[in-house]
Amino acid sequence: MANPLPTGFLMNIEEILKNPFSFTQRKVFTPCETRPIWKCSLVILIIGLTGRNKRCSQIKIHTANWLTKSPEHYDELREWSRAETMFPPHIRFDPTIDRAIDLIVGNKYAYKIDGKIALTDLGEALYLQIIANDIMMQERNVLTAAKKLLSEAAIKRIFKAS
Amino acid sequence: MLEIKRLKIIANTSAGEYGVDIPFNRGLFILRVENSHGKSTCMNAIAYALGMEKALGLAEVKLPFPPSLTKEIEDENGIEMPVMSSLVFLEISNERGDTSTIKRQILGPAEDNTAHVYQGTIDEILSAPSQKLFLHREGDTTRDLGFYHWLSRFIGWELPTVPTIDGREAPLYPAVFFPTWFVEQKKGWSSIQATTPLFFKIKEAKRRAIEFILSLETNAIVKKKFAIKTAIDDITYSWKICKKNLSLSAARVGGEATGIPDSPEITFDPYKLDIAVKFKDKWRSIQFLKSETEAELDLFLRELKSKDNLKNQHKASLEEAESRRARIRELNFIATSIEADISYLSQQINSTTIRLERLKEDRRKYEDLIKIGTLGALKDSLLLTQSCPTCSQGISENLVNLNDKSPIMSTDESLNYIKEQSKVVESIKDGLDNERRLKEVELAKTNDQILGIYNETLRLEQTVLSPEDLQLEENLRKKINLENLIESYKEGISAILQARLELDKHMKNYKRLVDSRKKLPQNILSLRDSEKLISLRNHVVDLLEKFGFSSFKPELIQISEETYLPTREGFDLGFDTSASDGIRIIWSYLIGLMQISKYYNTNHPKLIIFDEPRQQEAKKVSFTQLLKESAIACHEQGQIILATSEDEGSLLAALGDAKYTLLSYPASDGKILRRL
Repeated sequence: MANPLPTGFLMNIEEILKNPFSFTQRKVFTPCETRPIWKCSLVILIIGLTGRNKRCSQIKIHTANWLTKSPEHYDELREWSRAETMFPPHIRFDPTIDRAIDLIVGNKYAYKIDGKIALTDLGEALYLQIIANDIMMQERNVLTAAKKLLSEAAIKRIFKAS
Repeated sequence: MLEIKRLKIIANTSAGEYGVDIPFNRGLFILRVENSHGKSTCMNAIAYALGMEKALGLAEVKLPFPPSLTKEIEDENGIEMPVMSSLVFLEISNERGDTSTIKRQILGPAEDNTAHVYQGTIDEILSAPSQKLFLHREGDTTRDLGFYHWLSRFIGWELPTVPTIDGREAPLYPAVFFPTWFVEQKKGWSSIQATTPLFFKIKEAKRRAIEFILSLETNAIVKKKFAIKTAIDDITYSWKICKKNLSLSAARVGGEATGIPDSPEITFDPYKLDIAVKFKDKWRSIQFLKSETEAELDLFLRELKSKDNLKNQHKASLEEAESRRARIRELNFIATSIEADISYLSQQINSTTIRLERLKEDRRKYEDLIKIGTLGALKDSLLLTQSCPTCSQGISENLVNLNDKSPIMSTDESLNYIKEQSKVVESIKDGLDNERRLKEVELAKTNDQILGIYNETLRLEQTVLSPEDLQLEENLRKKINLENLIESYKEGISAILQARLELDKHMKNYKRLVDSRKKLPQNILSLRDSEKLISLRNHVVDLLEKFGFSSFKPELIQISEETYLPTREGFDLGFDTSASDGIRIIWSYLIGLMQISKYYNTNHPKLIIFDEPRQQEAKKVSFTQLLKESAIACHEQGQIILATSEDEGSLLAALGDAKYTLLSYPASDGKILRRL
């Protein structure tokens, strides 16, 4: 070696191992979607916005959730409803929705009635506050636009066809 | 030379043979027979035996004989008997001493126009070898079995060929000059050569006859002239053919032959011969046009060659174009790989964009989440405490796995994390964007390069290929046209050369002929001929003086160099003379012709046969005078036979002591054809 490194530059592995060391688990980032409050708020918004008498079937909540995930989903649904495509939209069921429903039902923001989930007064209050504070605007816009397409009968037709 | 030795005429009748047998003698021989007693029959029999019956002026009569030989003959008692056959024998001899006998049938069963010739006297004919000869048919003067052929040889004549009036040549038939030594009784005395036959169609037959008899060289000259004229005519004809041929050759190249006169000329210059071709409104020499066209072709070929060079250049260009095309392929490959890179980058950018959007979305949601956390409706809610509403046990902040115990970022931490992430992704995206832009610039540049090279290649190929193809056929056609033109010019020129040679030959021949024609004597008489004619004239004048010619002074008589006949001051003697002087002239002229042969070489047979003119046409005195001079004329050589009815006494008195033979048949004996 023409230019040997200065002595001591190279660490001795034994020196390293001599000293005590510990591992700290770093906090994990998780997408907002997976946050329980966010999902619960979304379910409440869905029921509030699209539910008749502030109540929705579980399947409708799933459909509306799928609808908010991408603007393209709205296009798909619209094309189906206008009979512009032969295949119904492939609606993905999100397991976090079911958990979110359980959470809001457990926390008295909603209740299950006749196989449907209905908002409690507390739930309705939360819904109204969300609306009033212009929270979740994007989701609100999509759900408002797609409100007519999200009748219980329309959703039944989709799943009947698929 | 010809000598009549004996004549025998036989007529066969039922009562036996009738006829006459006359032995002749040399010198003057006088046959004295009463008028109408057979005198002319005997003379005509001689002519007949010699095959000369057509030269007796009796063309319309088939046979020059009275009925006594052709139909009936009177016997001594005056009883007519039919003639069954009749024939004539003539014994003749020549200079060499040969004696032959000619037998010819007058009337009989044998075929006409034949004569038998025996080598011997009349008495020997039974034993002598004989030959049957034909006459009055084509070839009778030229073929071995022709009678005149034999006769000419016997006498020693070489019959010349003479021009005929229809432009051919014919032998001089003996009958033509027969009247120069035989004078027939009825017509023979009207003029010199009065009975010359004309049906042979010999040009100027009488002149030719005298020329032959006197053996004048003029005949040869005339013949030569004729030959020259014929040759010139031939040359003129060939000349015209030649000119026509050249004109045809000229017409083939659209030109006209020049420099050829219509007929041969001595001044003709074969090098002036040319073909003029109209070229661009000007008549020009074919030679000139040929070399000009050749030059044009040469130039054209050279041009083509240089075009070939150009072609090579083009080839180089083509190669260049090819290399450019290779370059294009290379660049295309590069461009494709750049495009792939760009496509990959775009995908990456797309991914980062999506990621950014997700982050943005998440950020929005987290911000919303923070807002939700502050909402009054959630105040004191278990939802905010991450605990189960049923069992109050803690639950995870992650709905996907509520049992997950791993620490999860708080909302604020998440927002920070998102911001950081966004920054990182954004910078990655910026880098990718940058890289993509560079690649795009590179691609555009490469594409530009490709387009440029492509256009260049296209231009190279266009300039090289398309016009060449178009021109190729045209060039070929032009070349062929030029070559054909040259070929036709060459043909024209070779026609000129040929015509030049031919015409030169003709011209030289023509020149030679004209020269030789010039050398021929103008008056066609050679010196010797003139001498002969002068001698003839002297004899004629001399004889006329002695005969008592009285019309004018005999010295005034000249022999024409044109007709060889006696003239006075250039005029014929026809009307200037009395009838008896006419006879004297004929007499003296014919004897004069014979006398010339004493001093000059001539063709005269040295035999003259006179059948006496009718009594009323000549004065008795002068006629007897004629006899004495005739006797002197043929004293040394030759034979003059005179048939006359003159009184025997007066004949004897007139002849006096001259040498002669007289055979007289007294009137009391009756006709001379009598029983043998």
